[in-house]
Amino acid sequence: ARPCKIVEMSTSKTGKHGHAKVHMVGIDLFTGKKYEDICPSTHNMDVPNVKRVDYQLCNISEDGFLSLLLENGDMREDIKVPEDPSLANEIRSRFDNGDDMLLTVLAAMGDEAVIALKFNTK
Amino acid sequence: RLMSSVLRLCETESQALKANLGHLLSPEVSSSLMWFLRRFCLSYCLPNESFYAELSVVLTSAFGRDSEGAGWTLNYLLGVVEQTLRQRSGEPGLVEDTVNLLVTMVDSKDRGQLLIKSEGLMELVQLQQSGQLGQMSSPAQRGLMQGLVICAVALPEADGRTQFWSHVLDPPITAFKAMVTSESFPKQYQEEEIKKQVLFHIDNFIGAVQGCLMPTAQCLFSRLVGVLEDSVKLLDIYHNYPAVVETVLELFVECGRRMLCYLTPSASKQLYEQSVLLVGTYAKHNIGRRNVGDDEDQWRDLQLLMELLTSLLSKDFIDLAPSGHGEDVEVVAAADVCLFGLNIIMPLMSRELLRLPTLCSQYFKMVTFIAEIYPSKVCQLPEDLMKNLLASIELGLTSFGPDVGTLSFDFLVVLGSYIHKNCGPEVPVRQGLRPFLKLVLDLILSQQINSDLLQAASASLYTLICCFQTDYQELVQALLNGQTDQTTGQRLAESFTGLTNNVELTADRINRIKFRDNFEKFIANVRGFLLVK
Repeated sequence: ARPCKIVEMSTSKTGKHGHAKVHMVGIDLFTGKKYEDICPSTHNMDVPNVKRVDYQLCNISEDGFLSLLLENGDMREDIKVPEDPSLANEIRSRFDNGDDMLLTVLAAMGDEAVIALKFNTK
Repeated sequence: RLMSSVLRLCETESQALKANLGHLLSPEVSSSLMWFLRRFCLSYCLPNESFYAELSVVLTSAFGRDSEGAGWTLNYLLGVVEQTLRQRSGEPGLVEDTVNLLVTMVDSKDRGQLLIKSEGLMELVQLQQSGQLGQMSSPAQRGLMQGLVICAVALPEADGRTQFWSHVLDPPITAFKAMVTSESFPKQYQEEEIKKQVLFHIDNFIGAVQGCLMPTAQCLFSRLVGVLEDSVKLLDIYHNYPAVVETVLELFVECGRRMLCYLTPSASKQLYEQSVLLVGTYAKHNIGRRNVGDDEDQWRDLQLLMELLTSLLSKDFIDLAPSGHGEDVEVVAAADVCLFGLNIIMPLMSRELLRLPTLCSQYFKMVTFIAEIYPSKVCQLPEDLMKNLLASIELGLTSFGPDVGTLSFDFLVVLGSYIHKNCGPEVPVRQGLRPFLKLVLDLILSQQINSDLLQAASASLYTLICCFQTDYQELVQALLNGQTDQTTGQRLAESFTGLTNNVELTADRINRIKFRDNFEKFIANVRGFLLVK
């Protein structure tokens, strides 16, 4: 099972008196791969436990690893620059510009990745 | 006989559900049933007898005032609603029809009075409060609460109402407060179960606000204002979790839409204050934000924020608050919220975001609305933000379709009219507006303006001419000088003379309309022979 974000959800019925079925399109949170599923609307779906944490960006290494500062002062250097080119470019250019920024890291089912950035207002 | 058949059908469905045979039922039939019952309630269950010169004795003795049938039927239908929402929440169409039935049932003084005393209502309250989490869909949860809150209107005396609130509203408020202030919350907030609870609570409050009516608005608000305060804190904690952020924003939007027009000045001020805190908290976590794969979905929160600002401003248009409270509260608050909000939103509205259609449309609606109601505040924007705002208007004239185009032209009219009356030539915003005269004129002459937009364009041209009369003369002269062909030059000069013929450049409505008539003739004249160099 892969953690996904639902990007499309539509309800339909089989025939006039059918029960509602939900057609879902999900995008893998980390690989961007598309998944689809159809299930009855009464089913419970499993939801991944997702944590989103902001880290201050301190450095970008030559081989593309980010140095991220935690709130407690620890540093972690095991997360790479994101694959999405426009986000990666934005991170690099703002970093080169000397901007102080926070990166939002999404953690789910053992995987972690950067999904957003913003200016540090603290 | 028809009614009793329908009720027998209800009972059949109900028995099936109780026997775990719900999967055999047709949602379509159930929806139609709810629809029917709603129309029945609306017209036949305790009808307002003063509306009719003649009424069927059969109907009035079965379902009219003082009939046993009315009370019994209403109570029975409450049970149907309760069972449907509890057990068939997975059918969105059915939920919607059921909520509509509930709202219709409670939305009448006569029916409300009977319902308040019924057992069925107590069961609904129980469902709302002790229902398992996630058992009901979000629309079902909201709809249920909405129905319950509407009931309060049936109780005219303060005591009765206070007692009602204590049963229906206070428990959810207390539970919510306990959760967000508990010591374990800061550590547990990221857990899925806790998130679900948070959303459940806010859904309840959204439903409550949706059930707001004029007589109950003020006391509903005073009970919920604490919830609003805590919700702002939730936005802070959950700033990375769109589901919570959007739901909190939806709560505020509903308050602006459904309650604000009925609130007293001091209550309105409280809402404005909480909104300011909300916008500030949002800004803290979103300045310079960029996401992976930016799309409409990711920016729904910004769209909601803009809806909120727009709805808060509507207070100046629609103020139905009870008057004469002798309160001496400053009315400045709404203007300040909007200025503050604009300051936050402008830096976020980059060109990329403007390409997202819903966001774009909401943005232009908001800025044009603000310019219309508080042009003085718009003029107070800091220089760089003003530049961005005007740049976005320039884009809006041509790049985003006719609706946004019309709004952009309207923006020029309202801001221009204000500037014409109130701002001297040195004021920066006046300078910022200057290039628009040539821009609009060029667009008109080069026929780049869609015919749907010509009226809006005409109004903006008129306003800009009034503001920059010398510039206009120079532009016309330059155009005439640039004509190589004498006949064309002559025709052009005549057209321009006709354009401002008999029109005073006072930027008021009467002259704007006169100008529009001239403009139509002008366009007819110059089309076909003019090429702008």
